[in-house]
Amino acid sequence: MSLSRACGIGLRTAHLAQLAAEAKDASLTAPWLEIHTENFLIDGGPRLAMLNAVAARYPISCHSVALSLGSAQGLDKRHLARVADLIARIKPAFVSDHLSWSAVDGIHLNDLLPLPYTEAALNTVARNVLEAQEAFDRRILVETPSRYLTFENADMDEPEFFKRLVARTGCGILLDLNNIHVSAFNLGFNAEDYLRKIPPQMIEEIHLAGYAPSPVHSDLLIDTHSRPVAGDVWALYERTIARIGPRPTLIEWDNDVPALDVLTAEMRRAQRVLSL
Amino acid sequence: MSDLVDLQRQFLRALNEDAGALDGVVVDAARRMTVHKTTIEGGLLNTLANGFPALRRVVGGPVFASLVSEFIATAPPRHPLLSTYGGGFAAFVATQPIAASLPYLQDLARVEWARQDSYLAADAALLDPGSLNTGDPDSLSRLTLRLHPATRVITSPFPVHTIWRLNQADVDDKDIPALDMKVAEHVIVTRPHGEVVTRAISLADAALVTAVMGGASLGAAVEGAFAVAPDFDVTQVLAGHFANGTFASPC
Repeated sequence: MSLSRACGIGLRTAHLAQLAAEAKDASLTAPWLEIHTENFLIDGGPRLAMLNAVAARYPISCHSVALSLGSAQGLDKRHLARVADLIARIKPAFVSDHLSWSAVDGIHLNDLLPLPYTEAALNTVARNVLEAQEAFDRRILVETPSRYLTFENADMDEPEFFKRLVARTGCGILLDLNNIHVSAFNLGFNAEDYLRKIPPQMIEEIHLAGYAPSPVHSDLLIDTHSRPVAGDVWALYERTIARIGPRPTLIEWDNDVPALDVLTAEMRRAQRVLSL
Repeated sequence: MSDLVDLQRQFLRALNEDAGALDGVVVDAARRMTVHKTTIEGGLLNTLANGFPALRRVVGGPVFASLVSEFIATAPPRHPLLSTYGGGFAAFVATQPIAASLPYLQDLARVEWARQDSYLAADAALLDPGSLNTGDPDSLSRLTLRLHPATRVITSPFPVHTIWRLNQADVDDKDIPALDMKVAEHVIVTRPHGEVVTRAISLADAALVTAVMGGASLGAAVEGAFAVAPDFDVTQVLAGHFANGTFASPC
């Protein structure tokens, strides 16, 4: 089944019981669902049972938040093995994580921290992506991050970093248009210019989500994933799909999660864009 | 690679003790880093607030937040899964000044951690009590039962089960009676049918389950329970365990 014209939704624990109970029904709530892989790296219990019920009916995307593809000290082998085990069981349609890092010296920071776009960082990320692809026995997608800061020294911009990463590892790009909008605002670049630098054939999935202004700094937007997709991100999405063609798209709402029908309304709006 | 390791270590320092660690490396470092600091601290506070809701209700939101902040500084996450964060929280709470006025806090945290641990534990078929009905009391007594992977036992010198129960979100403050702090309560957490069950049990019962956990035969475990309480009602206690999924069926 091709998902290229299909918009899915992020499966959050708040909706898991409802979707698991309804998984037996003939009509699916969404064409596909994306999980946060780390929520299901558990030994057993009701959460895993509900995932199994959902995965029996829906195409699933396994979206990781803790592989730490940018860790200079390499990937956590035990974590990698647990993710590989879940992937082998679920047989997901997509596997992804972010262009970021979150672990150093055995300390895990629960955030997607930025990388400097240097040759050294490219070497690190490429090595880690290849190791993950080897462990999972499949290609992965790497997501464009939300950025709040820039480094004094960089050898290239983010699109260039992604292009070279793809060329070296064969991975695909998960284009998060909300993240690109947030980064463009925070760092002062033009989102359309950024998007035009990414070869369309490298883009394999699109994320849409909501942001919020920083409560502390008036010149920063925060990728909160706690709101509807903003109007300017919808506009970016419409122009991107018109230019590159349809791509599997995901509505991602992680915090202050609303009722399922709020998500499916967003999903239908994206579906209309994909069907044009 | 070493340059990137150094940079990532500088990040860690900038998030913790040394706000200036990224000066000259990151543009506008101190101000921009507050976004990441806020995300990390907020995420961990949220994780522990979800894991320890009764403890949070007992001490109140602001005190809970400062306990968590101190805990993060003492014991930052060392595992990629956030669900594993909080295993050391009970022991940490016991070392804090607030434990002097609320001495049961550590045991309350142990109960809440046991519930979280139980929820995520491995699956196993429940013991079928009918399978024990062999008609031969000697073989029954020699039997070694297997604890279900989701079973946890907590003993306490405080009325910890009552405190836990009265600090659920749906309990109205006006319904909370005066507590006798001298009453010791013990807790068993099980997961019989996909739901975590939290029950108060007697000290003799806790001794029985702990003995089974240690590999003792059913006969020896029951004997140990009688040593704790001569009026131990073995039939009623075992019925409670069978109904609530304490034991797993043999491998």
